[in-house]
Amino acid sequence: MIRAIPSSKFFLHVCAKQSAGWVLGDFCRLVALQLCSSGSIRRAMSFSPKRKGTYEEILHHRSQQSDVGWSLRSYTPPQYRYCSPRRPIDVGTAVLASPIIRHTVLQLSEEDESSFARLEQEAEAIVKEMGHDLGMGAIRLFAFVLSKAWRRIYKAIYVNSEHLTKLQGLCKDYPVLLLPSHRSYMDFLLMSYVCFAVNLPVPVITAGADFMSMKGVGSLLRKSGAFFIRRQFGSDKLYWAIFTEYVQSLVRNGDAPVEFFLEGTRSRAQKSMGPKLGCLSAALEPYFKGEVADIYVVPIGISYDRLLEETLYAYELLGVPKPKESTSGLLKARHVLSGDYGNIHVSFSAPISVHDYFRAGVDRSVHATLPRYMSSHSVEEVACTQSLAVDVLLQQQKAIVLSPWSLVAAILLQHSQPGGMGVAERSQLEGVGVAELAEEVHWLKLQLENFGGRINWPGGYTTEAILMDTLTVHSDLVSVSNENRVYLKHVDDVKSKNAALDPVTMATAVRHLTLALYRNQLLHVFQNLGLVALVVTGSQENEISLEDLYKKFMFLRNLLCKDFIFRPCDVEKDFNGVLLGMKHTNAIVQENNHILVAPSVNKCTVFMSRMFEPFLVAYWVLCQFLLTHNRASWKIRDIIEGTQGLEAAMLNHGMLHHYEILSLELLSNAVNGLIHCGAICREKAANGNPSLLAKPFELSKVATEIASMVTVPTCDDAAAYVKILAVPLSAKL
Amino acid sequence: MLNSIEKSRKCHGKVDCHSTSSQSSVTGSLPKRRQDLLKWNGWGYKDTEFILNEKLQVELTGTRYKLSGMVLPLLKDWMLNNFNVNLDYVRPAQPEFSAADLPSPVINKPFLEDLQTSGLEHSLDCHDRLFRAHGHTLNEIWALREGSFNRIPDLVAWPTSQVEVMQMVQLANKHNVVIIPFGGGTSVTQALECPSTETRMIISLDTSQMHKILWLDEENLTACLESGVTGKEIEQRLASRGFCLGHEPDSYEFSTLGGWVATRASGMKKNIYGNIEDLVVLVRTVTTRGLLEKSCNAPRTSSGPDLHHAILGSEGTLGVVTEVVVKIRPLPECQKYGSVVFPCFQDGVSCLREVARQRCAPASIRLVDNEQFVFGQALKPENNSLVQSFLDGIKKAYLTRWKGFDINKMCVATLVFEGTLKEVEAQEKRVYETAGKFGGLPAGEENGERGYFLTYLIAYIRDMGLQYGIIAESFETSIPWDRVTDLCHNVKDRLRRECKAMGMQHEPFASCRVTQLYDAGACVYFYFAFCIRGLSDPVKAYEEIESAARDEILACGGSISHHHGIGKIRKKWLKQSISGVGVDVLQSIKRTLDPQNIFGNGNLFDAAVPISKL
Repeated sequence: MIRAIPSSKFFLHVCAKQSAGWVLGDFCRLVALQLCSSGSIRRAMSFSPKRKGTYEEILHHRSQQSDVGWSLRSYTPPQYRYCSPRRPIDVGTAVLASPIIRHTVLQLSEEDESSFARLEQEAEAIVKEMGHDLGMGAIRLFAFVLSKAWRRIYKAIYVNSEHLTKLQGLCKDYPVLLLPSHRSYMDFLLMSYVCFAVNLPVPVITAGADFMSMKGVGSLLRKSGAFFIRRQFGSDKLYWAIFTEYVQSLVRNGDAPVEFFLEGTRSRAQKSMGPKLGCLSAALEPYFKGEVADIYVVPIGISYDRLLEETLYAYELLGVPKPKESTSGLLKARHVLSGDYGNIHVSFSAPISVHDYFRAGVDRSVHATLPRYMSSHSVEEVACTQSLAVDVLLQQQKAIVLSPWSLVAAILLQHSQPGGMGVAERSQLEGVGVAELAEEVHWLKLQLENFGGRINWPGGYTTEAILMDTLTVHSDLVSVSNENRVYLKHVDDVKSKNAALDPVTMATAVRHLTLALYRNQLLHVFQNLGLVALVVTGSQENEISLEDLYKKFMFLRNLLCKDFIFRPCDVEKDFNGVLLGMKHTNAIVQENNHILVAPSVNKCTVFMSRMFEPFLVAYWVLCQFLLTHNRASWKIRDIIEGTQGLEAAMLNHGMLHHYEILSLELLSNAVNGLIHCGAICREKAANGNPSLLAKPFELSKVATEIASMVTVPTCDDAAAYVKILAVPLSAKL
Repeated sequence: MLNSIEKSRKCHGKVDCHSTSSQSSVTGSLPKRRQDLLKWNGWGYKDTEFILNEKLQVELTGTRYKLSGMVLPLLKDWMLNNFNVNLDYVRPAQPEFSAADLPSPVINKPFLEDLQTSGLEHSLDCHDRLFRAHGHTLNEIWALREGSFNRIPDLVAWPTSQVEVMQMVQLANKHNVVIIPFGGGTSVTQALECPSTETRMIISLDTSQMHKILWLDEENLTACLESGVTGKEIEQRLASRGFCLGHEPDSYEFSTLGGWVATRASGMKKNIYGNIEDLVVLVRTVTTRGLLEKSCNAPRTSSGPDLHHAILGSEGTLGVVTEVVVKIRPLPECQKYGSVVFPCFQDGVSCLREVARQRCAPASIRLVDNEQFVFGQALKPENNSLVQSFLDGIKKAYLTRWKGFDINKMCVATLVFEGTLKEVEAQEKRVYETAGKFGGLPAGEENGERGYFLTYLIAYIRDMGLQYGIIAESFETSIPWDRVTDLCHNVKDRLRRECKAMGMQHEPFASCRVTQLYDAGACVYFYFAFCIRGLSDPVKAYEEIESAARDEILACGGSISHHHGIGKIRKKWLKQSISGVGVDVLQSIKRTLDPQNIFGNGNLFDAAVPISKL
């Protein structure tokens, strides 16, 4: 079986707890905002028309103008043809009565002699804790309240209509899984809101249990379709059985589409994270066992011009506890929530038929000789599920409509100067001219479109107009002076738990990371291009053979496999595809089977390689950290915090200038990437706890390879700083 | 007849000389020139077919069936609505083949000379040969109507006894000539198709002239029958003595005892009488190595693996079944139809499952889905009585308005009760009570009876459909109880989506019924039909779709076949179904009984060619 939630990403749990508290706060604020609403509803119609290609606006442009009328309108979504209608509470009853739960309880009672009755009680309690309570009352309430609140802060919510008609039909014939990208806690409410708006059945949603315990909010979320899954349940067989049966019961009976987030948690860094297979494989089991004819999986890409959580995410990524709720905080937040958050784009991808997808790879008849309650996935089914999950993530990325701000963020973070002063610093001190920025933005937009990215770029406007619009939306981060220069705004000093991080460093890091979030949104478009560019620009030779390029490309794909979503089997296809694209855009020059380095080091490759440089730098520091600290075994937390400290020291001494490398998520991915490459290996410590073992030879190989592509401090310098740091660090560790 | 008495010497039972002599004058229901009685290119009797009369209403011709001569006013509209057909679009069948249209016979001269010397009756007539070149699989009927044959039997032989069969087989073995046993010719698995690669002479061994009841033993309730006797004939003759066999497959008017054994047939009333494997006491099979038989008529033996089971389902690949001792039963005092309507298919399945759990199934119980229920309604004959149509209206209103049945979801279970009056009454009570627990309402005898009629007439209806460009076929499976409903849903869905994938504009007719109940599962029977307009190769399209449907069945945990058998159309799934080792076991039986592959119809699997032949 596949575990739903890995235990290693410790920082996510920290973050989850933090965010949970914030949700409550922000939610109340939203409602409060609504109640004391006095501001006018702003509409920038010019940039947000009713129709935009296949996209339709659903927030401001409705046939029914009154929110009350709209939220109470007759709503008759399509229903699955074999669904036997039942109340939410009946789902729980059915789960408890299901053969798999009866069997599990019996088995457990035999195994550890705990009483049958106690286990049954336990099962009931779990089901109660888990159960959704979807009702139209809550949906209509949300439809009303959110309409009011969102209209104040969003210019538009766009939904693409090209697959909607098909999807509505599919909902009648097959169970449907909605798989949105997850980059904001708004996703959950937004999806239900959109479904209600476009006459799709409102989904039931798998939610992390941390939202559950909050008074009021928990039950309100339940009523809008959430059911709660504990983040960690390790080897709790009963919980696992109930969780899978609960999901499967919903899929089998097709009560409503089941929505969950493949990435398991919000992607704070704003780029897709590796899929968690627990929920997906549980949801697909009814298909594998022939209980349903097919299941349709709908990847959905959601993008926000501006995130409600932008600074929050930056703090979380740095591992900084959130400042306490205070009156001043609330007032400030009120200010934030009455700001301009631009557009939201919800893009439904073409629904994927699981049957068609698995047709060649899976033989379902292997389940014919076992009773159905016995849960088992064949090796092929596990492999195909994994592959489907990756494809869904790629489809989400493809569907996502990027904001022009992503381009601006990428540019502001770019063009590091030799002295370590990037545009970010320059723009804080001396600013960047709007015209200069517009030119860069325009250039990057062309690159983006050439490599398959989708961007929200209203027709009929100059780049400068669009730039100014997006700068207004992000006026919390940037300001535009009277001289038409763009300045980054100052961030207050930030205190960190990690003693190695001083407040000023942290403040800079927050500023960088906030920009990095938006830049990250577009990285998937360039991920293969970026890797090729890194190799080409890093080369000391006159030319590189395609073979060598491919080898290095492979090395980078393996190393960065946790930071970016790649299909392992598509390496060659991706490589050839990106080379072709680069040749067509003159980004590289190829002669016979060689890339000529000199003409291939140009604006495009340099820009792209610099965009990906911070990742490699962070990996490099991590390698250095492990190489210089000789320990038999590591905990992931120690590696990450230690590396973060080392990075901070190097940043302070001007040896490095990418502040975003302080991101804990990046470091966590780095550890896992190095595990994937075999430079760190997982093992069990004497006490049975999992621990990590650094493999110096492989680590130094990786470090050397990285150093050959990007600029890093010389090893001697680095070692010196490691020594300085070694004392306090080891004392702390 | 002496022959038969000689055979019965071995038995403990009494020989009823009166009975056998009285039967001896009876000629079999199937003449040697079958095409004189039966359609040469379609199902059943020549005099019976569905036609569109001058009022453009469907009418059944002839006098043989209850509906014969009646008008079915609703059927045409049902067809128009379900298939998007146009009555102007007709695909008439081609005229009867002449000798020149058919492949010329491969003649093994020494064999033919020996055969002529032996005096065994045979024919080289092209129409005799053509009639035995096919069963009733869709592609075969299509070939008759619109296509042609690459290979047909080269000679037809009509042995009249086991001894003559033994002579035939010996001759064939001696001259390396292929024998394909031919019974009723109702196969729907291409089992009768001649392998197109076969270069040897092919003899169709028609068993229809072996149709005697050799003896009947009232004490032990057994009878010894020759294998060429048809089901209808058996029942008629046994009934005259106050007995019945009770084996009624849908094809029982034409299919023969030998064919039932060779395909592991299943009868509609198996709940009382059992399937063919439960009915046989002793089977005699002529193989190239001699006669395979048991030594006594004991009801059960433990003597190693039961060799009957090597023959049951062997599909003519091992030898010719010549004589079978079967169990018989006294004729039931009372037979009654019945029906129950359910709000939805799932409820009906739950009810059937409960009936099976309680083991209180009547002689037959079948659950048809909504599509077939509606189809059944379309077969209602013209109704001239105002009262009747008024009552029908009330019934419908009661169900839909009062009981809240959805006309697009409801389905019906049809029932046959048999036994003494008291037994039938008790059975009815129990079944209707159980049905009530699942929302079922008794819906009268007429609905039940119509359901069973449908199954006898369905193949005639198919012929009419072909006329208007609708092709139709049935297939079946068996499956554990917990997967029955899902299987039905999934297979129907698969049929619909495969049709869509082929670019068909209109949804096909995909329908199923649960036809047999067992302790551990059920048999499910599918009807599938679609309009072929616009398809370049309709038969190929059909075969691809059916193949996909079979994949779906296996994926859902269903079997390769419940009673139709493997033939040639399901060979590709045999290994998956019985494992590679299983196929090897069957191969080794084949090798032992028929090393030269005389019974080379190519069913089940491709017989390994002996090394010496290579």
